[in-house]
Amino acid sequence: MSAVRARGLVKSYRTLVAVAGLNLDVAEGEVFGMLGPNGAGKTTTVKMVCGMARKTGGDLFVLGLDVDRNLRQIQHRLGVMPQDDNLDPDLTPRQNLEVHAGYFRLSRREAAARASDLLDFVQLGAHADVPVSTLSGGMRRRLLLARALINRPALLLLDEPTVGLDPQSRLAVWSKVLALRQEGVTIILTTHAMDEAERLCGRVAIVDRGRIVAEGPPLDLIARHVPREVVEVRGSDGPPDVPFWPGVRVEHSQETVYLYADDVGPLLPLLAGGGRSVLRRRSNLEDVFLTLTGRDMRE
Amino acid sequence: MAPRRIQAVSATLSLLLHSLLALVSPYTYAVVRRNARVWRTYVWASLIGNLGEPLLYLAAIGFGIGSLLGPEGIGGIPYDVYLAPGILVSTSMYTAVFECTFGSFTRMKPQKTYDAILATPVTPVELAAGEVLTAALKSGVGAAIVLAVIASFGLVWSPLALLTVPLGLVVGFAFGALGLVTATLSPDYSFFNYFFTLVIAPMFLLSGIFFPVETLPGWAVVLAHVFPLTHAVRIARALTLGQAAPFLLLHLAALFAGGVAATALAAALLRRRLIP
Repeated sequence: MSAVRARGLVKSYRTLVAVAGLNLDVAEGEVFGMLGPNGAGKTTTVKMVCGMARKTGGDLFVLGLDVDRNLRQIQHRLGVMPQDDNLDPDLTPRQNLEVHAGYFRLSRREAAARASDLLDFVQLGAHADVPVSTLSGGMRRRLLLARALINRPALLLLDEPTVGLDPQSRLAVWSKVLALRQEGVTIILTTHAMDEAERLCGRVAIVDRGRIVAEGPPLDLIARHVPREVVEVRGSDGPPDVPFWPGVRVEHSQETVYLYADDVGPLLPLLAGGGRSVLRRRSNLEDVFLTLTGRDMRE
Repeated sequence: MAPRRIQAVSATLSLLLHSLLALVSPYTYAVVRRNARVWRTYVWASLIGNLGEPLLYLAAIGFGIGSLLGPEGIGGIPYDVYLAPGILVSTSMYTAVFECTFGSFTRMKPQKTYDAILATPVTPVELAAGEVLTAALKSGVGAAIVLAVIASFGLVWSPLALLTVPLGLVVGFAFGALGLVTATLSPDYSFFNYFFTLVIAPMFLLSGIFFPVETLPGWAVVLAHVFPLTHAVRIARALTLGQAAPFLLLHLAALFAGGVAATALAAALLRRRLIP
């Protein structure tokens, strides 16, 4: 059984089609990443999965159940970490977790036990009983993650889990996600941080204009869609002139030129000098992303 | 009837039924417990609010105007005794509408608490019912406090007055639901000005709290009888004076039914607003 199965999923608003016939299969136990520019339809898809948006077309099954018929049953087994911080500011972290447990009809004792465990898991034990308003951004994200786990979900939805965090906090959230992955929790996460997707996800889908344009394990996607290496060339004033070489893909973006080839070694001597900065690196998911979704701004 | 019309009617009936069922759903009480937990953190401030304003009204208007009217009062009832049950009911009303306008809107919009709740197994109807029952609970507490005050001033003539506490619950339920409908329609806090100025204030002044509704001009009498508060005042006054009669149950049923209908409407609006 797939954790999520969407066929021709559509979400249209009065003037906008946010999700345009999306097909999706997320297997149990995998960490699945949805990447895409702002407005691609990632968050809308996640919201339809957890019942916070109603689909306008297609089929959507979550944990084997139809969202139109068995939403409550689905929601009992779902953990949601939203993009927007919606912690209860009037309550402490511990109370936030205990109150949330109530929405899943957990007993008071069970709620208290799980809250304590989860506060330890996200390293907030020392801050369990202070007002939420005194927590840092990173602590709040960790608390949101803990809250999403209070019902021991079979499927965890993380909508941009590390947006706006400093590197230390990002690493802290990542290590928690990796620990959950070890335990076999099925996770869907949306992000536009490519390093995050490469690091955490067994499989990713690149979403653009409401559809999935590519899907697979990160390394496969890189191998499939871009040559192995990249040279980034920046001019000291404006975009540098780069001559054409056969077999080398050239892309321009703002003041940088990207040269893609399986081996960029022979190009390097030709690019040296002239006040240009030259950086050679391996291709990554970001290159796939930009290749598939274009380099133009979307908003 | 056209099939579409039938569909709309059955959807409305089903929503009303769900709103009624939500009053006994455990998910609803999870929402009530959340609000009660927050309430505990500032319970004293809210209780003093419950106590302070009715005391002011009783002192300024009850004893002030009361002394002008003399011992005859209104229809042989001393004015402070006449006024007291109305103040009790209006305290319940204000407690509930504040809770479900400013309070609910804060949870819905800036705090996004509703979004957090609706991603869990709690349905929009249960969320709305939980908010309205919270208001009912606070209104019941408010009624109990005012009852204690007016009883200690000797303004209560019958032990039937104890029933004003459950009455306060029902008043809070009806007006909480009305407030929640307003909150779900509000783009921002300033919208509540319309509600308080155009709905709540006229109701407060014309529902027979301060003077008998029948002394109003004919059109205003009709208007006053549309106000739910008029029914509540009538029941409360009968209880504190010890004049309870079975027909008062009709007034109570009207309040309750209005509350259920408004809860259903609020739930539908909530769903439309938060689950696009």
